[in-house]
Amino acid sequence: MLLEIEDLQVEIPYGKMNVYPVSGVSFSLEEGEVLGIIGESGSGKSMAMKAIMGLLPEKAKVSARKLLFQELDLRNLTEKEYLSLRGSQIAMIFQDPMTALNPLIPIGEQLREIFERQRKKNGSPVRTKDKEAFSGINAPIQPLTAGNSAGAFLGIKDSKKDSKERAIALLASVGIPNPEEKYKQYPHEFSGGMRQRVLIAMALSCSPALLIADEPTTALDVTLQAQILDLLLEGVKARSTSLILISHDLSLVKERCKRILILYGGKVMEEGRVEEIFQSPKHPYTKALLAAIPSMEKDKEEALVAIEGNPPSILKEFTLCPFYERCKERVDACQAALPKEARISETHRVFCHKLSSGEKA
Amino acid sequence: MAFYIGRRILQSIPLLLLITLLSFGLMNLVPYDAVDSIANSKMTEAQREEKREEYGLNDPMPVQYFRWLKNILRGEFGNSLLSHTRIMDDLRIRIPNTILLVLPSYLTAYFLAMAVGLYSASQKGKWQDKLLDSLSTIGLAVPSFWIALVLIYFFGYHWKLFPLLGMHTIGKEWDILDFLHHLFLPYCVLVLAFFPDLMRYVRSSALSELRQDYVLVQRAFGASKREILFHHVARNVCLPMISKLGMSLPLLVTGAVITESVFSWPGIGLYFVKAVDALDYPIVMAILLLSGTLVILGNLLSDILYCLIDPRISLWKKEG
Repeated sequence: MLLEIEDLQVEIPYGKMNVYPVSGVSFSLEEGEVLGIIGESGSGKSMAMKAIMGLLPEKAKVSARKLLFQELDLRNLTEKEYLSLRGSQIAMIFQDPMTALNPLIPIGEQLREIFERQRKKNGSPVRTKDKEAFSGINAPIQPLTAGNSAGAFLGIKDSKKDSKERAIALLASVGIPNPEEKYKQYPHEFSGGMRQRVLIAMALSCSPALLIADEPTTALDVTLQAQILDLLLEGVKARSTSLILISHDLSLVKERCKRILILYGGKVMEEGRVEEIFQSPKHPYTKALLAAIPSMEKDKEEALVAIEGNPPSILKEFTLCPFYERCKERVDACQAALPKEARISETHRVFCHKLSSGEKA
Repeated sequence: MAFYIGRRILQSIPLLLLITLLSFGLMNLVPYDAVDSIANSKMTEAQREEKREEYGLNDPMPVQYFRWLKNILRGEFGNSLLSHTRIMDDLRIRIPNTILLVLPSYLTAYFLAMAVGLYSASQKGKWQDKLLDSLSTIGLAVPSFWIALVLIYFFGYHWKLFPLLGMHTIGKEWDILDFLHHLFLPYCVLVLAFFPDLMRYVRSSALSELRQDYVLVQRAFGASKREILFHHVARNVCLPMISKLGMSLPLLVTGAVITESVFSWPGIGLYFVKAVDALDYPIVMAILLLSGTLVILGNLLSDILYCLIDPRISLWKKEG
């Protein structure tokens, strides 16, 4: 098991109050697995991920019954210990590629910096897996990269020149045209899609064991979404890196993940394999989400279904199901307590009173 | 680039003319008869009138203005009404004196502010930051002449470590150590005067940089806060600071008026204060014009520096 999380809670002081963006999230991830996390804005998905990466503001309180990454307990990790983890073991890609790069440093230098930091940290440039992984994405650059990596491992080449060549090869591997020229350019000379490609290259450059992609295509042109996601998945596959793909768009995740986790109000609503979620959704929220996906087959006259109401406030801890206010299938039990986990199958679980109290969904 | 600079210089000509017009016009509005400074009490009204005629003070205002302008273009600012020395010669002696005082102090304050401002921003909300922040607030609020007097009292008068005033000991005009000895106190006063403003500027721009997405991204890629601060944030903070450097060009003339007066430092500031005191208006006009010109030049300089340093600004349209 690569990642095991049980009952993750995040509490952030906000003025005199506390906000509870994540309250009791549990899930696990196998090595090399791709997990989709779905939730609307404010459902706690980004916060949960930042908690895993130790990137929350210092005043935020993170607690969990279990928070294991590669058998390493993340709960009491110091910033220094986290530093050796981030970048090399866990990396993250964010929503907006336009602001994610330093505007005053050339792309190549920003990329090179990551290798060089890694080299300083552990002496050797990257995990050995990287060698094959490099050639995996894009066949034409194979001879060039293979040569470079070999040079790096033998320690023959001057490290700066070597990392420059690696950076150029990496830019080529994420589909950036004229990588030699682009290496010297600044972020403003790149389009949004190209910048996200650069960020993917940066995140994958050290072949981390886990990559978290937080809505990596939300800020991009719709026509680019599939391209960028496929690039990401290819890169992840070549390095046998596990991927957590966060989105608010179920249809984007559908074909790219095996399992899906649905979050709402900082809590897990439903988790299951893609078929289970799409073919037999159990939670009213999941059903509402699925109904809200526009379909090509549906009648044009038919209005899109929206979920009425607003996401819940996270200013206090939930004592009831967070979806209660907007739920159309409420039962009496909903007013009494938080729903307990109901197991539908080995892989499918749901938090809803309708299921745990034995009523038919 | 040359084209851009040329265009900017041409654009600044009307501005400069406006400055000459303003400094001339304002000085002429002062309820004061210039002849008083030349005449003595024994002169009769007829003699005074004669002097007026001699100095061209009876000519209409535009005639006087254009005569002045014409002389300025020839590099001639006229003579002081009091000492009858050439203003140009006085400036030539005094400007270097001011620069010798202001330049080292400003540069010290500038680089110190960069380091301390970045540090303070990195410690945001902690006691170090709060301490530095309150110290800089105090520094902003305390007038420099007060600091100067306090320093003079303790270091000059009480402990007799440093001279009270002047730039040299008489007879030791070319002694560097003697000069540095005299420089120290006014230098400290000016560093303290320039520092708080610069430091707060660095701190606030570093804080806004630290909120940028790229900082979080860098952390997610394993950069330490230190690396981010000195490598990524510092670069982005340098940019507005460099423009600040250009803007501070006029300080070379007017940066130390009060400090120079307190320490009797023979620079432009003291010269200016004395001239204003005695209504020696050719000098006042010359210095107004000079500092106005430096403001324009400083702006031009910081724009040019921006173009050279910020990769996002290009003066040429990219082909393709």
